[in-house]
Amino acid sequence: MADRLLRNLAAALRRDPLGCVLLALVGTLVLLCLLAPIVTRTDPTATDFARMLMPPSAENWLGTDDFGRDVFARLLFGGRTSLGVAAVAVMIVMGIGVVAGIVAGYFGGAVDLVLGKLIDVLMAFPRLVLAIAVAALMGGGIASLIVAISVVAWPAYARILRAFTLQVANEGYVQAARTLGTPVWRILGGHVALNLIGPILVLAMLDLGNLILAISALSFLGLGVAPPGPEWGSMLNEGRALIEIAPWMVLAPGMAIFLVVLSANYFADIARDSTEGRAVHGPRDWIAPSRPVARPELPSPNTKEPLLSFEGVTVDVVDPRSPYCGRRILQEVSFWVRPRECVGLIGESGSGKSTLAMLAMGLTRPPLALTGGAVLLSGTNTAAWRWDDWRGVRGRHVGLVNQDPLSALNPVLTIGDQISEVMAAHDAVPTGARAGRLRAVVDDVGLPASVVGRYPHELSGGMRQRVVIAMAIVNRPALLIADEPTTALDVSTQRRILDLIRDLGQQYGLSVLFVSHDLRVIARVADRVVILREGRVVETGTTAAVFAAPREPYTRALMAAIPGQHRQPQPVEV
Amino acid sequence: MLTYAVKRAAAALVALLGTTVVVFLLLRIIPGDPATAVLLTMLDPGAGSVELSMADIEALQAELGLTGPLPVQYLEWMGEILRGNLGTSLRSRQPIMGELATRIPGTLTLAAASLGVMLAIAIPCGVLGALYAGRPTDHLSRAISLLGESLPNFFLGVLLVYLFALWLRWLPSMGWQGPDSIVLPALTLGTGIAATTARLLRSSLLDTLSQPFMLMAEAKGLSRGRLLFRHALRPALIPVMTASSLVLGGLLGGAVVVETVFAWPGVGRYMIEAIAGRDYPVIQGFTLFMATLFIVLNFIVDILYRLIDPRIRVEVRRHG
Repeated sequence: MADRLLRNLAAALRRDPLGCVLLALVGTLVLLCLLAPIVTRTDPTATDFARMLMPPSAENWLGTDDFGRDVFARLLFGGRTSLGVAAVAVMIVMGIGVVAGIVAGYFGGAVDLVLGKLIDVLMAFPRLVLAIAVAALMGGGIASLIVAISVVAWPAYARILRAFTLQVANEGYVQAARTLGTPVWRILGGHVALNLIGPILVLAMLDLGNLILAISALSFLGLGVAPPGPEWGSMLNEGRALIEIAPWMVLAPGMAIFLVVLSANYFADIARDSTEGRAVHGPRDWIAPSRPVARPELPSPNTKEPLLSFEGVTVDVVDPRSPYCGRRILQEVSFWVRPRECVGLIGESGSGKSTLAMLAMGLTRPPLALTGGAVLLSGTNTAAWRWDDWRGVRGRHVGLVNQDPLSALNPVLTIGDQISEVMAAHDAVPTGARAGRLRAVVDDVGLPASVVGRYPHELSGGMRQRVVIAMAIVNRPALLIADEPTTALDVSTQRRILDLIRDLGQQYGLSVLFVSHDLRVIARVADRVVILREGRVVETGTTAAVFAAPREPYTRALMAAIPGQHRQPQPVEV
Repeated sequence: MLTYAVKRAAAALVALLGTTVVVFLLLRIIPGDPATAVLLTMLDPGAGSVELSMADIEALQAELGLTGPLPVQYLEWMGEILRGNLGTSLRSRQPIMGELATRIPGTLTLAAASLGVMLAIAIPCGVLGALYAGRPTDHLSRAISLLGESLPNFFLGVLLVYLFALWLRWLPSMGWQGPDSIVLPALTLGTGIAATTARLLRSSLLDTLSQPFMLMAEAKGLSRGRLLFRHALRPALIPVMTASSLVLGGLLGGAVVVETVFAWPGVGRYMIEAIAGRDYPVIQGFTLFMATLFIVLNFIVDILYRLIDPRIRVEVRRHG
């Protein structure tokens, strides 16, 4: 983890000019402070009442203070104190935190209990308030400053490192070492500590800025270095009464603290950043609605015209930041779904079948993009549709049931809310009829009326998938996209959900695009099948024909792989 | 819910008891004799050459409750606290409870106003940062957070005083001179803690927005407002509230600093004034008050948190 952190930092710096500038600035500042006696010959405490409150000049680069002392010299010598205290405090805090965390985590029992209580009590205080109290009781000065910061900062580290240690101690190789009779100190020193170096470094970096802020705040309050000696926080305090006459007295130490804390936080931010590249579900523009270009109205499914057709669809990874940039996901895929028809889309994982399902809902997201061909809904090309055009279609004309019912429902909203809002969003059902429709749809999917007031976590996986189906069909859409709707369920629940989708399809005249990797599932529901492999359509035909006499070698291999079946045509039992 | 609240209240009381032990022990753990230190400071700040009479030291030790076995000391001290007596200030010779009470409204006003400022900055910053993740709006909001988090509040306070009070003369710089006095202190304290909240909210909202249930909500054809306010924001607030004690701690600790910068009539400034005179009873009283306030605020957040998250509400109904 430590070398990964360094690698991340190095990589981030390479494409981050601001980071380089910050690093250079703070590096120069630290170096100047360390070399203060060489850089400046001026004594930071030498007073000269003839040269009081002089503005910055060639002689006094940052001016002089109310005692005629050189602010530049005080800044550099003060930095030695400020940064030195911070460095010592970080080491003490990490030392106590690491030892307490490892001991509590590894040995557990009474030690853990006592340390845990101590940590709890110390964390019941606001950090800075306790630090001020400790420093005040001890009477101020550098030593009390370091003690105060250490007392309040170690508990948080100990708590986190305890959790890490617990995790590492339960790893197989540590257990093995224990069983082999390796001495405890070697297990702790070798296995456990080595694994904790990464997290410890990250923690230290994340908190460094806060520690420096706390230290300088205490000095500002007069709890740090005694008056004549320079220190950034106390310099700022000395200067603030004179800010109108000598702003440099405040600006110099203030900017120095700011620069150091800013770079610590900036690099902590980079170290913490693991969130990039995640898909954000929602419109690209959240504030200004895009003007709809079309008002998509899908006709009732009486015509023979395909409801959904893919014409030479090609999808590529287009985001240059993606490591897979340029990879082709779908290659000229063409097929269609007619009214009242259930088309089964079969393919192994990575074949692009879920990408097709998302295309049919207009939910394709970067880094993927449609680069060729067209998706047509009821004969209308959807290429120019914006988010708001799609919004009118989703949930109204096209419903989605996806793979994992456990994560498909919002945990903090009731089932009734989540079904009703689909009706409210589209005005497909008159307001007065919505309560009745809600009861009807809950009954249709075989759920008791009482689920309406419940929350998702109170329902089983199968029940939740029924709720998802109810949301998808409550507006009586023409087309249902079912993306692996049974994969996450156990076998008997799978069959009941499949039958439900098939029966509802027949009852409401739904067209269904049914995506699955499981041929037995497809055989049970689909009228026609499309077999997809590595982004290309390998074979299509009626279910009966394909299952009875597959033409392509890949399809034959798939058929042969069905457990307990030897190329038997449907019906295939689940 | 009620059982839950009672349980949390009991836990809060235990924490409170723990803090009294810490505050009690702190004075007794520090190196040297507190009474001697006080007398030295009172008689001759700076030097240490004064001869102290043993009688004076013993009298002060008795007044500070430093005589007798530790458990007895603690019980006597606690007995007084439970009767509402935090002792007498060594400098003013007034009961500390009364002196604190006149300053508590000042601190609470400042804290409430700063929380308001914090929310007004953190919510838009966090939400916009997540909605436009990786795009210019996000970079801007993160830059604001980073600056707010890195500017020491005492530096920011001094700069704001210079800019708005001394130079532009729009606002008063020090103390309480009418309602507009609160603006600069609240801005100073609020911006400092806004960064943490904004960052937490951004990453938690980003996490929620990439959840499968948000894809599902989008597939239902819901409007922007419904997606954001009803589906994304509520679950996203849960982790933010879990981490709220960090923010509340920053608020109370920062209040001491900001009260000092602005000569604000609150408990923090009272405490800082006490430090120079080694007024130990005042330091203890202040620390206890801040810890109590912190625990009470955390308790309130705990209750609110359970109201937002139905998963815990139900668990409590079942097991509580």
